[in-house]
Amino acid sequence: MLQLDELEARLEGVRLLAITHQSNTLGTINPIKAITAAAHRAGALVLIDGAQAVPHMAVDVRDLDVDFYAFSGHKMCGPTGIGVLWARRALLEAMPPFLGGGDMIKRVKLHEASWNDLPWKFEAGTPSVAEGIGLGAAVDYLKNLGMDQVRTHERTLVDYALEKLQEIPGIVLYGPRDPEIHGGSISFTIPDIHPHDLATLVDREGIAVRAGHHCTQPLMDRLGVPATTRASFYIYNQPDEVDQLVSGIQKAQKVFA
Amino acid sequence: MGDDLYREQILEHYKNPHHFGELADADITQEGDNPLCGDVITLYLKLDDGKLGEVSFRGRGCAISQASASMLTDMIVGKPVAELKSFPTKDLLEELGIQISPARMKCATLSVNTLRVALNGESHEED
Repeated sequence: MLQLDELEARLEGVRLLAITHQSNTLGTINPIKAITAAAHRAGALVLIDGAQAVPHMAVDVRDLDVDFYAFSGHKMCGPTGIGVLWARRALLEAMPPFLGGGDMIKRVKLHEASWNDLPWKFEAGTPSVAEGIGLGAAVDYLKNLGMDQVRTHERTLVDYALEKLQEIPGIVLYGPRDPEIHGGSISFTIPDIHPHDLATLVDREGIAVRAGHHCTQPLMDRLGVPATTRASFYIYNQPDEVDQLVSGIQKAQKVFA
Repeated sequence: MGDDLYREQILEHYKNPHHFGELADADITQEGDNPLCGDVITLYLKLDDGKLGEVSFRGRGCAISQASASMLTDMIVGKPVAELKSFPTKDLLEELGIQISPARMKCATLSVNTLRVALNGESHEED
């Protein structure tokens, strides 16, 4: 649980606060606007990991008032190996290049060099052309669907899934119960069935879920579990697949009964 | 090999593992784990005149990892240690008798890898 009322005091002396917009494990949608305001009052800059947010909801970096915002292509129907880091222009202009190579220089002399304008200063070397075009196509595709529509669709699924999953005897659900702040991933465990066994059995019913620590091992320790099973929804999912997931879990419970 | 990953025999070993528990006077105690999925086992080995006199294990993890450990203890108890140093992974996989996907192979082989570390001091991956 984030303790927002303590945030400002805890940020004393901190220069950069990095936090996720939506948790990939718990599905929690963090109150970024409030967090950013508190961080700015404490004098810290804010970097948001939006890899789980940008594909799933409308995001306005100016409205959120963040300083840096990052997301990746492969979680939004785009290619792997490419992502976006947005930052305020003044910050980008103040920062030196992190990588040398073609296109990032303006003028080079024997003992000095000057850097190219934005964004080339940060795009050294041969660009990933195919990935860039692919990500652009993914952005167009999602914009055409409408990000508010995407969010509404997922909210309907999460609403339904939280309701149906809660009916399974013994299930432990992690993350918020309020679908308003619960994005399209739901983590859970079933007593006496290891998440990997559960994932394998549910897979056989045609439902692909992820089992493991979701790259959040400290969180797993905090929750006191080795791993969880996680169902994630996107634009292509339908409510009857929630039913299929539930019946897959029930079948697994019979196997392990 | 059958396709039923959770066939009766495997579930039986998972629910009622053989040689489960700690050997207080073990000659060799060896832990093994798969950090990525959280499977853990500890093997306890007691040697007796060049043979594996007693064996036991404790562990926590998925059915495949724990059932395979239970089966392995049945297969190795009483065998000459010299032979067990190169115990073939394929023998254990045959005993499991199921198709193991690449994603679950580490679960299936945790116990035999741990045995190899216990007896050789390091794991020799076989082809």
